[in-house]
Amino acid sequence: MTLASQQRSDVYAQPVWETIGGDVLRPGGLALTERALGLCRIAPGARLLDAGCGPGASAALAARLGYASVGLDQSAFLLRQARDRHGTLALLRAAAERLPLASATIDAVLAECSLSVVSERGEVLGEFYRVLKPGGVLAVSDVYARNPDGLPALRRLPIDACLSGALSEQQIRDMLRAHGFRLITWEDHSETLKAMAARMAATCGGVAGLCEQTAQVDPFDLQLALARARLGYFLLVATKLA
Amino acid sequence: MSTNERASWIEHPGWVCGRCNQPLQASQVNIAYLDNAFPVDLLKCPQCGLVFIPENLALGKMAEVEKSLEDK
Repeated sequence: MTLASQQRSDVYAQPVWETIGGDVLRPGGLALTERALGLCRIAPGARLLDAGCGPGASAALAARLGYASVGLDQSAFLLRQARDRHGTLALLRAAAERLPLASATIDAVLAECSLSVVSERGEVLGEFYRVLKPGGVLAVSDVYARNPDGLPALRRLPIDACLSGALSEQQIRDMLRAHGFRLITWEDHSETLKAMAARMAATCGGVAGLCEQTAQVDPFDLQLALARARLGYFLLVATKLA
Repeated sequence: MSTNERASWIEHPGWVCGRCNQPLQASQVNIAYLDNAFPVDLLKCPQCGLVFIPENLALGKMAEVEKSLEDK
C-alpha cells in the first residue's frame, strides 16, 4: 500500500507482490482484515476509510460487509488495479498527510501495513485523528520489532521498505497516545509474517526480493538485522479520545 | 538485476572443482536455514553444482546468521 507523498519508494507497486501476495500485499491476508473489522465494532453503514488500500481487497471486503467503504492510496498504479478488480469501490488518490476529507466524518480508519512505509507517521496519525468522529476507531496492522535493541541495525539498512520503518511496541503505544488515541486492543500476529516470509522464500528469494535496494545489501547483514530485531506483526485497535 | 550488481561473496575467482576439474563460476545460490531462505552470489561448479563457501563466510557471518535464526 502506498500512503503518503514522502513514502519509502513505491514499495508495494512492484511485480514481486503479484507473485507472492495476489491482491493482498501484507501478512495475514483478508482473515486478519476481518478480525480487525470485527474488533472495530462499527455498525453496518458506518463510514470506513482504508488508508493505503493498494489493490483494494480490504476496502472491497468492508463494502461487502455493509460498511460505506472508501479506499485511499497515493499510487496510481495500485488504484488502477483496485478499479479493475472492484469496479464499484469508492477510491481516492491522495497522500495520507493531507486527507481530502472533512473533519469528524469517518467512523473507522483501517491502516494495514501502511504506517511503517511513511516517513511522517505523526502527520498521518494527526490526519486520522482529524477525520475520525469523536469515539471513532483506528485499526492498524503492521510490522514491529519485538526486540527494540535490534532497531538501530534495522535503521542502518540502506533500504526503503516497511522492514526498516518498524518500531517497537512501546514506541507505537506512545505515538498513539501522543496523537489522541486510546489503545483498546493489541494482538501479536507474528505467525502471519512468518508464513508470508516462507511464501516469499519459495517464490522470490525471501525478503531480499522486496525491493531493488536489497540487492545492494549483503544478504547476511540483512538476515542478521531482521533476526536480531525479532521482526513481528501486530494488530491494534484504538479509539479517538474526544 | 545482473549478478555483478548484487552484494557478493566471490572473493577469489580461479578455484577449480576437485571432483569435476571445472573452473567454478559465479552463481546465485539459495541459502536455506530453518524457515528462512535467501539468495547469495557464490562460486559454484557448473557441472556438479558444488558450492564454494569461503572460510571467513562460513565461520563468520554465516555462523552468526544461523545462531540468530536459532535464537529467534
